Amino acid sequence: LTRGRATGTIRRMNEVAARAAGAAKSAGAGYADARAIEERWESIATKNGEIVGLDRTETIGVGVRALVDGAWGFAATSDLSNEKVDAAAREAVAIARASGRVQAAKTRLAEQEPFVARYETPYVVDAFRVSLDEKIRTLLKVDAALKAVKGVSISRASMTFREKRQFFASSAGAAIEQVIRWAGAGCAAMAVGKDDAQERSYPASFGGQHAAGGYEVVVGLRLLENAPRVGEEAVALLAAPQCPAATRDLVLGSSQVALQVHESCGHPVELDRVLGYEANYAGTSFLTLDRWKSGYRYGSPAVNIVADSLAPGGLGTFGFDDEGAPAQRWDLVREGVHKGYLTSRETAPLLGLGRSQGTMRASGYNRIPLVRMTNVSLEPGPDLTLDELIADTKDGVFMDVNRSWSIDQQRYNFQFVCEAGWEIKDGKRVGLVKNPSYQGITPEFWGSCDRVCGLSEWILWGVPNCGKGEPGQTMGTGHGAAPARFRGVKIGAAYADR
Amino acid sequence: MPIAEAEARRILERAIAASKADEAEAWLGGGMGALTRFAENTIHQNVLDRSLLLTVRAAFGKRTARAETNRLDDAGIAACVENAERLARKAPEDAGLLPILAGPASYPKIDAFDAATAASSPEARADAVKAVVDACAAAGAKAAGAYAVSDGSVGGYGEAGTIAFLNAKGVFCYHASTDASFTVTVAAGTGTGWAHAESLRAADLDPAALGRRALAKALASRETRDLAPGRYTVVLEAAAMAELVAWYLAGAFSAQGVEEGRSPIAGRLGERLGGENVTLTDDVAALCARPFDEEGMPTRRVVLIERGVQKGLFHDRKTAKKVGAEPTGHAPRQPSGWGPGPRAVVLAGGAGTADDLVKTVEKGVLVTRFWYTNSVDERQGLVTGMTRDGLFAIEKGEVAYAVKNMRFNESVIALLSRIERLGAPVRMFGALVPPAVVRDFQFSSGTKF
Repeated sequence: LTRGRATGTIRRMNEVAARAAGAAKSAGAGYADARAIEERWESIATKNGEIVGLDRTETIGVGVRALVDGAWGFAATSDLSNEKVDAAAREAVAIARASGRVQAAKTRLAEQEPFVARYETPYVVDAFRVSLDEKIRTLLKVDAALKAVKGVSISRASMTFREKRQFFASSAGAAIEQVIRWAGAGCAAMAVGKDDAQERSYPASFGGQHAAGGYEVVVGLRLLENAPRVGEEAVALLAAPQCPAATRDLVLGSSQVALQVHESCGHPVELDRVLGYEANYAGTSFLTLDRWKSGYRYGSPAVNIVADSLAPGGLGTFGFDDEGAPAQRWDLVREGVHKGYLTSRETAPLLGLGRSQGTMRASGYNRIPLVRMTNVSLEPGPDLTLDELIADTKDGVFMDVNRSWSIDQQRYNFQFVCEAGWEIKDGKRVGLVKNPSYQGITPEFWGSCDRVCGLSEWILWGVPNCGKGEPGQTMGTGHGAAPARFRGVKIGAAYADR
Repeated sequence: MPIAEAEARRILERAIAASKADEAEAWLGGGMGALTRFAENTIHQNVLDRSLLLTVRAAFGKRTARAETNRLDDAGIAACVENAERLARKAPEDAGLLPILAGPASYPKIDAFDAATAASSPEARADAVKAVVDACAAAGAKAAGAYAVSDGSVGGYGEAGTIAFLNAKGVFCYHASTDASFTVTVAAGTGTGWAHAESLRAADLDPAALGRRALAKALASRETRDLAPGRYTVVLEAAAMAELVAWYLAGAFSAQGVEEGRSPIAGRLGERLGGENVTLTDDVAALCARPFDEEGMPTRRVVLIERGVQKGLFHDRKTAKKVGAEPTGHAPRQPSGWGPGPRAVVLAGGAGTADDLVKTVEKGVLVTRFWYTNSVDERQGLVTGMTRDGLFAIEKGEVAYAVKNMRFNESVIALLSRIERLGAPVRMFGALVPPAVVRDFQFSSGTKF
């Protein structure tokens, strides 16, 4: 956007959000809020030296949420004419009235100061101003470097950029403008044998690493420097022996720890799940309120997990959530004991909290905010490197970069498969193994965690594809993690008895 | 009412007319999506969205790119076309890019639109939910669920899909449809039960009956026993079977996956993959699905497995040209990294419900549905997942007692040789799939509930 157009758009979008919230209030809502959002995405993907996707998406729209006598309604429209915005607001109120026909309990909201504020993701280089030539050239070089490795059958590289301009207004007087920028990139090589196909990704799977910021996020990943190793490991995996089925000590790379945190801590501390709001789809949680009250032991004393929407560079970093609550940091697990949840204005009072912790997030203008992970991170341990952790391990397996993930609906039983594993004997990596997998039960697994690497190994990873809600929403979440060790874990079970 | 054919065509024509590229094609998708969601016997979320999305692909010679917008005024359309062309000019040449489809093509008329469903009101949905909630509350149970209706091509994650397509050579196609589904999960103490139904018509749904089924399962699951990991004869209800067949097995028949060696059937073309009772097709007519693909090609019925033997593959024009086959009308938007894929999966079955199949099993396990399934190993067809909301031991042809949920690790190809019996196909998750009796199904670990 040019400055002139942006100024006009900003004024207009602010008006749309305020108009929608006001129209819903006039139509009978006790409380209403609205998010007017202008969004643009750019994605570029290569495969085997060719562009297989060069896409630009631009959307605009407003979603209005109305609370009428303790019941919710929501409507969204992409037509921002006054007439259609007013109609959407009236529809939200009418839907809320229909919701009132089935109300075992009325919704009450925690107090929230109506902030008038602006937040913008800090960035160095505006990714949308970097030339397409530069981006394509970079990706094709990475793709070529992967394909140059003898034995690589499929090479892939990709970049994704998002810029979201959101204007939040509430009937209580909040007016918050936020500009959120995300950038991500990654690459992968697949080697295909007669009966086997093995893939290695860098720096992680799901399209690589994703963070809040500008093009500097992509430059910092050093895709080209890492491409030859990624290709060589994919080829080497074809000839590697199968990961054994056994009980072993397990060392996980930091991106896999991040996903483990996401699935086995981030989701079960979502308070809407705990309260049964997601029982029909995403599921419930083993971290029930009675356990929380009694100081439930979630993991070993080495395990400290925080929610932190203030952390620089995360996909869960913002100024305010989608209910207008400010960004915050608090404990979820401290020295292994379960301490907190992710809350909203609707759920916070149930914990005795006077205010929401600000975790309500919507995937776009046409979806309602849900309790979502912000940045849910495992804190680094005392100074310890991955090499030192492996040197300290007598008989184990090191697994790195996720390939497959699955966990039950209360978040107890999980199974993860990683792209590559290395057996550890007497403190040394002694050989590559393919198809490394592990299974566990969440509190037992985190209870077996005895070492977490230090800050030098800690990375704030971005998970861009977290699904939740009906209708479905995809959200980006952040997870800081360092490599960690878990004692006596069941490995190899995904392929056992085959 | 979804966007009418004439109006859809006008929008697409404006996009094509605005294009200065050598070639262009455009898609229009979206529509109305409404969903009434309940939990803890309360409607807690209740949403409506009306959005359309226009996508334009521009090509200059072998250079191509796409752009999307939901601003359908003249300025919005012009900006979208300009974005596509600006990107396309910068794109490197794609040697494999084909010219857009030359018409004319003809498409079967598939009646998939139900005006009553498109007009479904939040009050009517609330009343249907109320009947389910009241019955559960009377039994001391809690109901959660979703009653969803949509018209146009609104996907589960908000993806717009395609209602209409037009290219610069005049190929135009349009498909109006509605969808309705009712899903309910009931909790009775620690027991849970689930039921789901879907149709083009909301009137086909029977929420009260679904509520009763889920409640009965929840009540029967209040006390559970442990099940040892191992191989069991299982009755997979249609929901469990549909995940394995529609989400994992059918994708193996992409010509591109086979050519690249990623598919579990690579190197096994023409071979026997399963028993005589396995016939797998892709048939848009059977599911009243859109009769054209993202290139504007008419979608043909494809026999993937006939009486256990591999027969056909999904082809787009690119994969078809490579091996001298005919395109089947299963193309994604071009260019694509992953190639053609399933559109309307149908696994042929026999007669009877899952309850009828239980009567045929001496000793086994009844699986209501799976949860969090995921591919473990694409080449091996290996899939994992958990059971959820109703897992029962079967003894002497009857449900004997509830057992705690289990994790499975199974190959969707290997499983085809172990299907003992199939019931009547049911529309489930956009596919038509029967419940099945499968022997030696592998459960590898258990959980706490």
